[in-house]
Amino acid sequence: MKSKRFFSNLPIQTRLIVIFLITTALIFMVNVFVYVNINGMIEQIEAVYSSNISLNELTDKLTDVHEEMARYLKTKSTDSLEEYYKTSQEYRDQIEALTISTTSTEVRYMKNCIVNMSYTYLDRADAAINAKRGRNVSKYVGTYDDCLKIFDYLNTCIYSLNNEQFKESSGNYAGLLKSLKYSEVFCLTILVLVAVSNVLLIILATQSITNPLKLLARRANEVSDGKLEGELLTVESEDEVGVVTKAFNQMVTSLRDYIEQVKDNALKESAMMEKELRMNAALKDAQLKYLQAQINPHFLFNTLNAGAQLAMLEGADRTNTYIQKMADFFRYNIKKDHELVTIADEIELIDNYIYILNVRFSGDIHFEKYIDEELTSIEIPSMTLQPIVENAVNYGIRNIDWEGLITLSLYGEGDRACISVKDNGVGMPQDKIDRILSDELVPSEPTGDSNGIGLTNVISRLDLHYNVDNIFNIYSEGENKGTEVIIRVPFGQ
Amino acid sequence: MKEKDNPESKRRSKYTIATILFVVMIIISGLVTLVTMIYFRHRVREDMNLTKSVEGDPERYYSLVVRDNDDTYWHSAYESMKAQGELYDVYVDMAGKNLSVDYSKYDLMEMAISSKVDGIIYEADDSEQSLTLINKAVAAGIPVVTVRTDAPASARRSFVGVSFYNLGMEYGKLIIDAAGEVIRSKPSDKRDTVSVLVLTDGNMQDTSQNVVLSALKETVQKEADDSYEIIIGTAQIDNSGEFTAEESVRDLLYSASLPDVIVCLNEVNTESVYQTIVEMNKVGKSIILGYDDSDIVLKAIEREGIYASITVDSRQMGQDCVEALNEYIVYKRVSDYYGVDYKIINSKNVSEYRMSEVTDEE
Repeated sequence: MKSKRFFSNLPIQTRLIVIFLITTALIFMVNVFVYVNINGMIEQIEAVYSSNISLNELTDKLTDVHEEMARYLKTKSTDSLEEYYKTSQEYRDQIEALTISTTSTEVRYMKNCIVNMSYTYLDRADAAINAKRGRNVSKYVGTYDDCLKIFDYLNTCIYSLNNEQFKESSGNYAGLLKSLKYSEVFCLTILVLVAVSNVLLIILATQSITNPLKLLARRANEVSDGKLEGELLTVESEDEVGVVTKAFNQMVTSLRDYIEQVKDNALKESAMMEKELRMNAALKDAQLKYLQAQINPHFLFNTLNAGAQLAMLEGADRTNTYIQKMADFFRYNIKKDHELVTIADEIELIDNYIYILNVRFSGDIHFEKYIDEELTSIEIPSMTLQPIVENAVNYGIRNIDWEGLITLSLYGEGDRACISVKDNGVGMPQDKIDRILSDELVPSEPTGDSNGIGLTNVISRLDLHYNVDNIFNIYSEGENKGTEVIIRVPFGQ
Repeated sequence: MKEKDNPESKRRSKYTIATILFVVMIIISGLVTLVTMIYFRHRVREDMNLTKSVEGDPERYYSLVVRDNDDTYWHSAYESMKAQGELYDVYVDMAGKNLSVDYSKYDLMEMAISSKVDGIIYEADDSEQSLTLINKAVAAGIPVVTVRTDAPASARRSFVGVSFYNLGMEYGKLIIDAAGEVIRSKPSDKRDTVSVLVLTDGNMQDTSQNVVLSALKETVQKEADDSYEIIIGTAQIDNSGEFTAEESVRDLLYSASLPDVIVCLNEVNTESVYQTIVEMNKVGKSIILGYDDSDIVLKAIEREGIYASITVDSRQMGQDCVEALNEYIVYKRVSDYYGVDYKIINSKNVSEYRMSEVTDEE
């Protein structure tokens, strides 16, 4: 196991080289083994064939001996005698060295015959030579005849033995061919086995390289899909892949930290934004409070009450009523501790307001009400209708030649209660309507006749309170055709 | 970097399994290589006839020198000699069998002598040459045993063969039996003579045939029925050439009228006569008395084409030859004559004979 760990710690290049060397060495070893064996067999065969060669040499030498003997017998020359002794000695040596590898007793018998016959031949030949030297003519002629006969027998025997050997060798050759066929199959089998184990080895080794890479790739994909959580990759080896894995792990850790940081920042930011929003709301609230404070008429109410009592004491009833109405008008502001009031309250305020105005403008303003009593209990932000009516009086019917009329209607329309304030005054151009509705019209300084709450204020308060569309609309059909303001209040709000 | 125990140990076990697998694979390949190589070597040696254990040279070499190597008679004799020789670590060689030149038996004898074999089994004859060669061999210290035919004047140590006189008597008896058959089958007015033709081997140069012939004639004369006359004629069949015997038999049988009984004294003549008679479509017209137990002869007896055949127990003869040489070499003396049995095969005992041949060979 340690070696495996050691192996997987090697650089990939070294590892590949090691694998290559091992596989090559395996195949090489198998080849060497096979060749050594085949060579061994071929040597065995060679031994068989070599006896054929030595037999042929034997025949040649025998012929030499015979020729030299015949020459000496013919010519009695010393050269041929020397040559005869030399060749006959050589022939003797060859005979003694003659080995025939065979399993057949028959062949060994033939070999034995040849050896013995050769000795007989050499004895006879020596005898013939000696007879020639002793000038014993009849003897050497007879002995030579013997020699000739044995020479013939010997040649036949050697030739026949050669034939037998050749027959045997042919059989061996056929066997060898057959064996080579087996060897092909064997070698192929062995090579296939070794190749399979080599492939196994390579798969094993490359897996130790590719598996961490695959793991790394999968993990990288996961990371790219945003799955930063989960455990880090295990570093299996100290090779290049190990280095990359380490770097990857580092990267994932850094990413995780970074994302953590970003998340933290985002959280902080959103908290800040919330705070800011709250502050804005508070500001608005403050503004609203301020606006309301502007028209808070505690003081006025008290003084008016005092004026009313004074008028009553002096017996000025109309003045008393007038001042009373005015007091009611301003009391309305005091009454509303909470910001929501019923529509009925608002309508009562309008009644007072119109009365005051009619006293002031000597009854020029005609006021008509069409009220659906069922809807009067709906609560709306306070001081909503009065600025609208004030607007209608100041900008709608103030300077007209005909009799001014203001109509207040309350009616249901679907899930909304509609409060309509309509005048028959100068009307309003569309661009002005748009500007008012889009809050572009900067409220002008409150004039002496205004209580200071402009349309824009009403619109923004309604928007803030209800936060629904289509709550405030202004309609005007054109110049001198009057203006209608409709507030559509959702039920239950 | 935390290393969780579970996957790590899993991986480790995977590696262990893989390593073990690899090592096992390598070991298996190695074993397969080893086993196949050993098997392969064995196969090669087997295919090349190298697996047979090479025994040492036999203690002695004997040479069998006969006139005709191809004679089946000698084949069975030689086989039994070889088998007998193996018992004593002796190799018996049939001289000239493996030679590329067809030598005469005298040449073969010469070769055996110059090869310094330890003993010679020789099919002798009465010729001077045989005599000289036997004496030369004995002078060179090689004991000679003559077989089938003898050379009594030579220095041969022993003779193994049948008694030709007895053989002739046996033929005589067979001729008398056959003549009886002939007479029975002839019309009553022609029952006076039975012609017998004895075919002799023209190349036999010893007296053995003469002994057979005279014993044959003597037996017929002594034992034949007096009511009819048995006329015995002889014809020499030239056996000198390779195929001459068959030709001369044909010539003879076609040229003259068929005799009532034809007696053949060797295997080749027996087969040739039978074949010719079959070709002439004259089976049953002549009674054939044959020699030897070749397959053709046995079949002919089964089909009643041959009346009877006399065969020498060639196995016993072969064994006796080896025994005689062994005895002489070991004890320096040996009995002068080994008698060999002969058998008469006819249609009645031929199947029995065949059975005994088969069991003998086993």
